[in-house]
Amino acid sequence: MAFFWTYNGLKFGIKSVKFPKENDFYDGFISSINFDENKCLNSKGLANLSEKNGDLTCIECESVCPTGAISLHDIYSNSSGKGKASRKSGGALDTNRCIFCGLCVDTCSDIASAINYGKDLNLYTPPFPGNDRGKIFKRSLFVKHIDTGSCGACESEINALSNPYYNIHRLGIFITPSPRFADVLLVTGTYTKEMSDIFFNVLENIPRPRYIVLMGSCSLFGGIFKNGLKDGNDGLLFNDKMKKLFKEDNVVALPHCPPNPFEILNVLLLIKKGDFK
Amino acid sequence: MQKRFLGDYEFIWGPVRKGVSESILYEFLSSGEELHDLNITFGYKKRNTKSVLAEKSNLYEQIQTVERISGLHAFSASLSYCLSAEDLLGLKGKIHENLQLLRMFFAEAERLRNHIENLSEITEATYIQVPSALYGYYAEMLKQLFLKFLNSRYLMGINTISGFMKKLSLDDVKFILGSIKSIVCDVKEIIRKNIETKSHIDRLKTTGKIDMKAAKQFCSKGVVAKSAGIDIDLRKTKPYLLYGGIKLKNVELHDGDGFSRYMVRIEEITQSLCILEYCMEMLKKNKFDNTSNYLMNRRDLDKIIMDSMKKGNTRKHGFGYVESSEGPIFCYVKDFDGHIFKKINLRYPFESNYKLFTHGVKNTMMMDFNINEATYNFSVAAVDK
Repeated sequence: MAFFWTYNGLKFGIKSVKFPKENDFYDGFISSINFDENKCLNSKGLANLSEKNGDLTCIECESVCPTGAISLHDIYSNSSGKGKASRKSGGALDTNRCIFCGLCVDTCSDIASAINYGKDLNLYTPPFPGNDRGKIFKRSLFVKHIDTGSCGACESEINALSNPYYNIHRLGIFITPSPRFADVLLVTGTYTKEMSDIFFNVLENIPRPRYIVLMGSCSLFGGIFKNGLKDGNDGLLFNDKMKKLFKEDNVVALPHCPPNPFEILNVLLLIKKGDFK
Repeated sequence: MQKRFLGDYEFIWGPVRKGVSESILYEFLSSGEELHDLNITFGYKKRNTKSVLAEKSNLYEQIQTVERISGLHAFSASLSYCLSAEDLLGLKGKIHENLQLLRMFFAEAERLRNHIENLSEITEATYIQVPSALYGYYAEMLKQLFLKFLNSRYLMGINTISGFMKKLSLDDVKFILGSIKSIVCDVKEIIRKNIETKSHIDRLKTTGKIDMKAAKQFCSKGVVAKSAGIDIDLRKTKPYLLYGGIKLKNVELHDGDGFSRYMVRIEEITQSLCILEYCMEMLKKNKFDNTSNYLMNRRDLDKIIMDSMKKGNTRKHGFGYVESSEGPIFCYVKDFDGHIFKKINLRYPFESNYKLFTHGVKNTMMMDFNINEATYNFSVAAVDK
């Protein structure tokens, strides 16, 4: 029977993507939300300006965003009167906070179509540069995963990396059961109160140099579960205990809810190659 | 946990375990080969979902949150929420037939994906790697199909109260069905070959056996209950949407072991494909063209809610349920303040099934623990306590 399945496996053929040699993605995938300020009503200044909205013509996208990822006031300063809003530096979309729910895209499609899905592999630059930025791992990369309160979708995406389509093993990346053998800690979940000590316990056991990848919106800032309560769900990006770690370790933010397997693979390959710029 | 035999020892596994797994703590009492007792501790993933839901500012946000309680059951959970909201707002009988068919279509598509993914896990637990990889590949193909047409691999952001959130034409639905048929055809071929693999079947048969009495005692649900001879399926016993119009075949086995749970999933794959074909036929019959008539934006939804409140059609409570791949998801909503439901109670099947799992694995082999865990397939995320 062993021969039978070996034969069937060989007959099935190679189904793995050629990534990273070629970007042979399936018709592209949503990896970003693009904001076209030329189409935005605030830029055009066409419709009636409302004073209660801080002189912005339309704040529909900002008001529907469940995680506060859109801040139109950050890019458009309050104009002195009624007219075209002037632009300030900074983007309208906080990439770390976006969960790709699509509510802003749906809302804006009825108004100005200024917000659209981007299908490029747009990797967000790590926000906290550590000490080591170059190539620090010589050969295979070993990844330890820890769940600090996720919905299971992130885990499913990490598991998907082992299927024949992505096949991370061909790239020398392996999931390890022990933190002592790990080079990278992949964190998912909202960072619940119950998991806080356990997370740091696991982290202490990972030898330096190491990378910490905060995967998914939940691990960054709590995602859709962020609330005003005292008990957790705040993620790790703004956590007091993490401030020291951000200085000493290499922390990479991998936003979206859940991140596409290609995005996870891309981050792991960048860590392996030391290609972060 | 008390020691029963000389040489028994206790050990813990978790909450951070090997591989990519959810945080859960297992306390074993074992003699080495045999597992005598098991205690399960949840709570490491407690996100206070009830409080989080009560703090949201609109219904859309609540749907987004409900979808992310258990990501693998996002569509079923949001559907149960929408059905309960429609019940409270007095919109239950006003949902267009085509919209109901679309909801059925994607609920079954989610079931298919989850079952194929679980077949991969079960096969991996029995150390048969090639078919496990093949199942995983086809589950991936389904996810990519959903991403292409619905912008989400986990069917998130599709449901809304009395409407639909994505633009789809009849041709799109036809293409999705055609692709699913082709995937299921390939999966069935793997299943056929896998059933002939003696070592695979031997490892599943008599593993984690439960009887009907125990299944009833622990109020087991879904696949686990069906494998023990309890035919509870809300699509048949309490039909919602348009399930009442379909004659569903009984999926019921009596052995209650790992193999029965495996076979229930296989039977349900066939059943789901039949439902998808029924939905397609009905959509054609109803001259469905595209979803533009059912797209629901904020203003439309606000207007519908206001009208319903003015006419006094609203009720004090709303109740909805959906049969997901692992069992029923119940949703109860209450205290609508004009913007959100202040009280939402969602109940997933895993709360009952894990108790049966604790009971069922007693006096089984430690080596079979992985197989048992894979065949029960419970999500810790959904048990928010």
